[in-house]
Amino acid sequence: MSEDLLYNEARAYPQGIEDQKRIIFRELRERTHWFIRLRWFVPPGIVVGAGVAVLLGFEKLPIGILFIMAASILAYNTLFYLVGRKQADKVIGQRDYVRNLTRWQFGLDYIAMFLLIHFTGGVTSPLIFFFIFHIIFSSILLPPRSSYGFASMVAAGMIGIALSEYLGWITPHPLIFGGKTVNLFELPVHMMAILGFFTASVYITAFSTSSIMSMVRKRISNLVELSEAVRRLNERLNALYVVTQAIGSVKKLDLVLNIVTSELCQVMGVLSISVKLLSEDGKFLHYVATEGIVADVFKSKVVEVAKSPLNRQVIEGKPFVTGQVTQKEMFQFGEDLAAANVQSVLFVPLTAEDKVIGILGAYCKYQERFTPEEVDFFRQAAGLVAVAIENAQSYEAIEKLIQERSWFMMRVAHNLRSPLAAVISILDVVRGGYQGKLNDAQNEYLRRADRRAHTMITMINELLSLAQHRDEKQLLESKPVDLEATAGRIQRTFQDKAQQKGLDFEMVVSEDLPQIQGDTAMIEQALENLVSNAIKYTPTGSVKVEFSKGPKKTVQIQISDTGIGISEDDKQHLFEEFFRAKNVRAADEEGTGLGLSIVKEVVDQHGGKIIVESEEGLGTLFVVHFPASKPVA
Amino acid sequence: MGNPADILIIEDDKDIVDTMRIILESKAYQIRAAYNGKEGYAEIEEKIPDVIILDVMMSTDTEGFDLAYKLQRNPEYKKIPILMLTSFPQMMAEKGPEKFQHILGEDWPVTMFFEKPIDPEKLLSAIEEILMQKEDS
Repeated sequence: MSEDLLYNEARAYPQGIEDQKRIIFRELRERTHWFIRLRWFVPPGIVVGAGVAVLLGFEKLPIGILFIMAASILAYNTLFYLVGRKQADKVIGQRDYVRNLTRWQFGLDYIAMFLLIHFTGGVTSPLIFFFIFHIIFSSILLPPRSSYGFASMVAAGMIGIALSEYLGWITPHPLIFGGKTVNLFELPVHMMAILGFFTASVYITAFSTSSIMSMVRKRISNLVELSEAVRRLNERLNALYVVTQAIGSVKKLDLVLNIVTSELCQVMGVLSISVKLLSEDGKFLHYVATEGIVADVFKSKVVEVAKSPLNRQVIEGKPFVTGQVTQKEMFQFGEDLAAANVQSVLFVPLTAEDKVIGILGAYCKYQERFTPEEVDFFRQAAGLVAVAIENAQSYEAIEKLIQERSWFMMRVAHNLRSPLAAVISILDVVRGGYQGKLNDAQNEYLRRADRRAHTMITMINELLSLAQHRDEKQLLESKPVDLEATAGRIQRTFQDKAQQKGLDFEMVVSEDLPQIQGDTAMIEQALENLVSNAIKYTPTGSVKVEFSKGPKKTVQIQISDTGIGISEDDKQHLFEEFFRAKNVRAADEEGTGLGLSIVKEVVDQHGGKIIVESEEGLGTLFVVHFPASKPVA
Repeated sequence: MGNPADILIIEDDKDIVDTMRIILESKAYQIRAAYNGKEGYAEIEEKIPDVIILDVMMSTDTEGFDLAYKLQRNPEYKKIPILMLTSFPQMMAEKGPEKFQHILGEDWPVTMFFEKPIDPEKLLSAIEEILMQKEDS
């Protein structure tokens, strides 16, 4: 296979493969410079050879002419060396330069060789074997026909010299040793045999070396193609991996699709990639993501399925379609595509639950570009894209639902609280004596009404807080919690209240607290609920809060009191919503039965644990454990 | 201060307006009332009050905030102190849905923010504090 043919084949592949082949052939061509290096040994070789011949006893050697030859070879090799050095960086892609340099070298070498052979005995010269090198090098460096050409030149040259000398057209310079002349002209048959076998040798050499070289070249090309194929496979696997990762980690649809389209565009080596989604009625395709130059073409366009046979075929169930932009009737925006330099397209369906939900498209600047492997790959990619779209859509739907629910709950809270706020404000005005003085009994009953209204407001708040926390389970904030600051705030919040009730209130924070992660506001609310309960249900004695390092890498928070305690029966229901212990109801304190549900919810969400120890009449101990955050590696 | 402070209540709940009026008038403040944002703005244009008491949810969910931001953008009105009162639990207003958070993400447009109901003493001391700050500045 000639180099020309290789180059033509390479044109069918992307840029990379051509470059790789070029690099390999460049290495071959660099041998032309190597040939120049080899030639430096020739002039000294001639001088030494002539010297040895004289010493051995050869007579009447034309030493002067041989020295002039050596000097000429030195001179033209110096010239080639200088040219070669100047052009060294241009070797890539300069085939003509390499060929011309090689041809000039060979031409001058041949002239030198013929002259040398003529002056060292013509056909009897031992130098004729050196021609073999030239034949070998020409088949490496030049196309095969050149090596046959050079073989023919060598044969013709040798026959010419022999014939000219035989016919007396030029004076022969036979080798003379010990007074004897090696004169083959006396044995024309032997001379013809030498010439015949010499000619055969150069042709056989030309044939065998050029066949070997063509095999080597073929192998090199195959290897390059194979390594290219492996590289492309690797790239595709990588692209699929990136797409899979995006699906797993990015929740927003447009972001996912941006990643997917740009990755596919790169790995497929195409002008553009588009994702179109089918409208509910199945009549239109909307572009939801585009990458590459088609992006501008389609920015605000909508495909009417009826007007685009290519898209319709995909929607109607074809596993893939390819199209040439020249078939204008197949496209709705064929002219725009042609203007954007697109020659061919590949469309594959995006399928969810056996229904086509959209189309993944690739746009290429070559005709008939898409190979079966590429189609397969593209279909695999489409499978992932469909999953990404489904995922993102359901996530968005859930998020919207949570958002709507949350907003709805907030309005419910507002609307439930508004009339209560008005009731309480009116009670405030009446009880504050703004509208005249009240008697003790009136005052007392209005105080009770006021307290019940306040209880109701607290209950609404807690109910909403509980609902909100459940909604937010997935969206929980997770940051390092400053437990010392939390302890400080809790102390400030409850100190006065405890003092008013005549309780000892103690806060202990040990210094070796592990770091925990979570939502500070929620953790604080949970702890406040526990401390508030402790103070509320402790008539006399003390309340103690202790932060310490717990077992198994946890933070342990103990809230203990000397209050009314909790009965065995009630303990089981303690964390249920709206549950209020019997003795608590009897104590006639306000309460909603939601405080501990919130505590439990918060502790659960942080992967913690809550334990309660209590004896009725003696006191209660709540122990909360939060797991320490993993140390950052 | 020579003249009694002029307080504008912008609030759609008549009961709340009436009770606040009684409480504030007991301290001889001069009270004006408006029942929605538009009326409130008209009152402000007529005469700049010393303090505005502003509800959040009136005819729209965020009418109070909308008005507060409108005032903040106006160099003439941006210095009027606003005491915001709302039936939204504050915790929810802060951690609540995006619609609200978006608003609260910007500069806080009000001087003070309380949950309703506010008890009379708290209301009076808040007004007093705001007026004192105003005098200082």
